[in-house]
Amino acid sequence: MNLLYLAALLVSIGCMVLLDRRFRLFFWRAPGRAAIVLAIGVVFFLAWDLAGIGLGIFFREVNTISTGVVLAPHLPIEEVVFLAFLTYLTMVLYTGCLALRAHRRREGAPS
Amino acid sequence: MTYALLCAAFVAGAAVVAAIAWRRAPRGHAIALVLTAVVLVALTAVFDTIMIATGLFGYADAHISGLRIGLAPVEDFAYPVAGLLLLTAVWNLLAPAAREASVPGDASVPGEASVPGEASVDGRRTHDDARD
Repeated sequence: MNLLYLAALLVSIGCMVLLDRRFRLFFWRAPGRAAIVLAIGVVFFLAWDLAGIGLGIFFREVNTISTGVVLAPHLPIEEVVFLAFLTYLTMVLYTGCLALRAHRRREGAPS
Repeated sequence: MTYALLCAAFVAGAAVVAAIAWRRAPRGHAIALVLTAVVLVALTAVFDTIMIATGLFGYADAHISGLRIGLAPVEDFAYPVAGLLLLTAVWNLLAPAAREASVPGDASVPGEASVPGEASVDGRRTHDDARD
């Protein structure tokens, strides 16, 4: 039982929240839409994971940095948190790129 | 090859949704996709390697190609790429079709509203970042 990996994931998600809030990118832009995208992302990646586990492609290993709590065979609770983080990171990067471009256009435009 | 085929199926599904959503994409969508993909692939190479090195999970040699970037099997890179395609597509498909048409600063586009039939098509493409 070790909270290191879970804590690292939660801190990383916290960083995404700070960026999201500061630049109004995702949940701070359209909360309902963001919630749907996050849910779809987690379900999509979980289906992929479960298929891989079912086919015997990858498996959880005993290690010293995770809680050991599993939601299904070879599916640790940290994996769901990781998939939510991956979804959030993806959308913060994408909406951040769009916002940066729009900002530069406004700054640089002679009008 | 099992893992590669599994990845191909999920990437293909995501690509179909991305293609459907393409005409709803805001300006700058393509460059934002490329930049995000570059960052995600780089982060995956680093952090997947760390996660594998710490012993979080392992792979059955019989099912993977054996090609690795760092410790990460190349197949793993399909996750961020498929996620990027699918999630940005859903985000854009759910975006309000046409809005912010009455932003005060936008008075410099006269006549746009006089072609209602066409306006809806244009409005779709220019949501979110229409002000530039």
